[in-house]
Amino acid sequence: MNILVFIKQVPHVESSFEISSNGSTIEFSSQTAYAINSYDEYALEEALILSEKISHTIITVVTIGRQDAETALRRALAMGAHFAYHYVTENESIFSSAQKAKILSQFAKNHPFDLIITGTMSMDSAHAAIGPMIAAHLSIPWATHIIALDVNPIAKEIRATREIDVSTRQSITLPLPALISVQSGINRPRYPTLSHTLRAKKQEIYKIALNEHPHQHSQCRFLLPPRTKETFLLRGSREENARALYEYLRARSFL
Amino acid sequence: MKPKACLIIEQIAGNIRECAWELASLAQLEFFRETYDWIALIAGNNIERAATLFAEKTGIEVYALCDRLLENFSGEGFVRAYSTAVQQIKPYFIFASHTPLGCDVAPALAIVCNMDYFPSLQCLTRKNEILFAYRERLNGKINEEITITEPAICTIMPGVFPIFNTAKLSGKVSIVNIDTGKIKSIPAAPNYSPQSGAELSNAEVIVSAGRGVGNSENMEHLRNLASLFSRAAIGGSRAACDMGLVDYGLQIGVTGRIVSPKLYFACGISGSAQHIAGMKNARTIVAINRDESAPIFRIADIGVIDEVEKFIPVFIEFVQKK
Ligand SMILES: Cc1cc2nc3c(=O)[nH]c(=O)nc-3n(C[C@H](O)[C@H](O)[C@H](O)COP(=O)(O)OP(=O)(O)OC[C@H]3O[C@@H](n4cnc5c(N)ncnc54)[C@H](O)[C@@H]3O)c2cc1C
Repeated sequence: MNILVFIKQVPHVESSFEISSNGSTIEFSSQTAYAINSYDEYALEEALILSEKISHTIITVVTIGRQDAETALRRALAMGAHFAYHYVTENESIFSSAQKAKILSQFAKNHPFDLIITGTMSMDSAHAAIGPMIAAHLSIPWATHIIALDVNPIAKEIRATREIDVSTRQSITLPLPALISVQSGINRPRYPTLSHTLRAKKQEIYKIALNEHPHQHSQCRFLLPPRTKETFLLRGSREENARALYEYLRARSFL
Repeated sequence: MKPKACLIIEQIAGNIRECAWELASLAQLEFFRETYDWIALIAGNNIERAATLFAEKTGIEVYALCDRLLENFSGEGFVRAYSTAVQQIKPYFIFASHTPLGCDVAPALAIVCNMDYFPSLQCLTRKNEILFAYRERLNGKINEEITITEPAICTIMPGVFPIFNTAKLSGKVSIVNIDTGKIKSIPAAPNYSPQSGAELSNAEVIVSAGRGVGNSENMEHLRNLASLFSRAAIGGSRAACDMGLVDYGLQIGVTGRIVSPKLYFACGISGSAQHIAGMKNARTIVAINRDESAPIFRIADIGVIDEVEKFIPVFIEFVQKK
């Protein structure tokens, strides 16, 4: 079975950044740690679990990203993916979800696959759009927010369970080829082993030139979010803060 | 005649989802109400009752898109139904909810109908004839202001728009029989199984864990904190549930529980829109987070910039000495 996993590299949530004075760009500090988007890690882990159950499964990971997104691909190889492809661009964020979906569906048209797995959304932009868009381009069935997956390679179908909310789930059977996007918590992504990590260092990463050019169809400006409350921020020593919080709660009869 | 705009109304087993009422309120914002004729699209089988209820409560015209194959939800079947309606109506805008079901159909619909896609919006305003929308980036640390150009599909973050439905006159309901044709997906009926965690609804104090709590040993600190109060309960963010720190039944947020305790401790929680939607009505919010720019500090009443596992024991000791 051939599985394509589409991944994205994102900055860590605690990264510090600056918004340019005209609001047009976000500059991350040079110490920013980048990693595979956690939803995509779940996607890759799900593919790895399938490859352990179904022999001759090949997992190909693909990313659209800056030169340094190679780190995410190396990590994916170290986790156990077989092949890695990289659409290199200096600024991935200027491509809209629709453009990225078009690029990735073009990739899928040129590479045989039975199943595509993506994360539900990326941690940085949270659009949750790429998966269904790719499925629409390829005219294949899809299902999103998947928290359980069963593949029947003989019947060539999958049974996936989506989470609508924590108490409501729905199962759906899709013939292959199909696309799913996975919700957080579907599995526990593995850590790469040392031997895999060493092997991944030497593996080739296939670079693909991007023919698509971003078109800025909408104006966009970045701002700091508004405060909804006058927050009393405690910046003292730990002991001072403990006292201040105590007094605050005491004054409101909580303690 | 005014140009048309559509709402995608979610229902499960004939019950309208909460997020649908939020979309109706949005359509009733003055500039939307005055500029467009609104049509709500509900897809399914045996949904006449839901369609009538929605039309009566909101005054919005409803198209009930019906077919046997739409009995249970599939992205494929529902996109087929909506796109059939869209081809006929030719709306300038379509609003769907940024929910698991909304995000399953809306992006695909944008491709099929060749419309621009603006997901995850939290606020809409019009200035000088231009429609502006706001959405979060980096889990709420950055606000992105975008201009919306028609024709477009937008998804609206649930739990953000207040619900007000004051219709005096019911909207018209039209039953539209859809020929879904062949679909490859075989969807099953949704399965509702209430989770544990009912104690959260009655709790006066909730101590909530996030990814920043780090590991289950540190949960001990949160339990100790909770034990300082009577009628206190433990909850958590989605990330805390995924890490196994708390049960999924204790997840607070749009897809978990909506709570409004008197006192809420957010420990190591960044404050994403999906989490905030579930706890913003807490009367007093205390945030403990080591990152000063975490968005949770923007809605907290009092914030401690520190490591959860280091601060809480010191705080408890201080309280016990008093
Ligand atoms: C369809 C869908 C539905 C969702 N529904 C929900 C929902 O109902 N509820 C929900 O909560 N989420 C929901 N989410 C997930 C949501 O988008 C966020 O990913 C999640 O809320 C993040 O949880 P968090 O704040 O605990 O983790 P993170 O965003 O990772 O934040 C961790 C925070 O901890 C801080 N921190 C780290 N270490 C420490 C330390 N030692 N001491 C103090 N602070 C520390 C960091 O600075 C950071 O701010 C949903 C997502 C999707 C796709």
